[in-house]
Amino acid sequence: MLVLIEQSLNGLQFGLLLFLLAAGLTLVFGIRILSISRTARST
Amino acid sequence: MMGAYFAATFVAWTGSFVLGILLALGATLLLGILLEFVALRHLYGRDHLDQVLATFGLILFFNDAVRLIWGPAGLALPLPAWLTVPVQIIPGVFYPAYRLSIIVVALAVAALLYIVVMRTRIGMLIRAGASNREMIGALGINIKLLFTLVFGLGAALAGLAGLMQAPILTVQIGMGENILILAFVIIVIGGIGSIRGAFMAAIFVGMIDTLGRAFLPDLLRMVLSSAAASTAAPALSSMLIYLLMAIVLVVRPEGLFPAAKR
Repeated sequence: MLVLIEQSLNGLQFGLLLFLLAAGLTLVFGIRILSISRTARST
Repeated sequence: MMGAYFAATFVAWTGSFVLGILLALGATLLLGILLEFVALRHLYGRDHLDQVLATFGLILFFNDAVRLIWGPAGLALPLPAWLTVPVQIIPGVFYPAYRLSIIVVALAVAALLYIVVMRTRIGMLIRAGASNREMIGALGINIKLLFTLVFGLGAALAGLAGLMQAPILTVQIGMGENILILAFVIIVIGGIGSIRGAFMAAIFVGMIDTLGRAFLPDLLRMVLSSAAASTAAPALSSMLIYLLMAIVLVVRPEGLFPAAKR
């Protein structure tokens, strides 16, 4: 149980860290400064 | 990676953890703006393959620039004493204060980002630029400056993630690359351009990854023989995220929380 709580917090912390990185990227892609989704949209 | 290196350097220079981190954040913001200005600005009209090539080239460039400036050995970013004590979150459960502070800082940044994008004028411009860039250019908004700022913001966010990760891992060349793939997975799962989607997907992916690594070996041991479980579990737990992404792509190709339709 203790390990579960600890690992969940670790997971949350890792997830939030990933969010910081992903949020910047998603803003950049969302505003289409750079594009990874152009081909997907045209199909 | 750059955020972590800046942080390690500035913390060593100033002797203060908080001041060093603030300086490093500013430095990554400036670096992002500079990069956009020097390199990426000229690629907006080009094919996305050119952009991928250019950004990949930048990764290689920065890896070797770091090797040149800081040397090939990793750095350490020491924590101040007040962040190393364990905190008792509920009776009997201790948790490192630093990891707790990462959670708090990241949640605060997420809230701030949400408020900026949804409630302020600059956020309105960002959303408008995302839905129709020609139109807001025609309305007299300096769209190039806006894009530069957003790119800088993105770089600063990545820098923040890197420098907060730094005391847990070592500061080394290529430290961001494993996590970059995960970030792409998160963007795809959450829906491209959706901050809310990125938030949900990031927590989801972080949980699955960590819990999978922690508990899958024991879970498998219940069904399989011990030897088979110990070979299968690490392979399976590193596959989990990508399995999740594949399922999401099949069920909802636009991601879980797609940004508003264009």
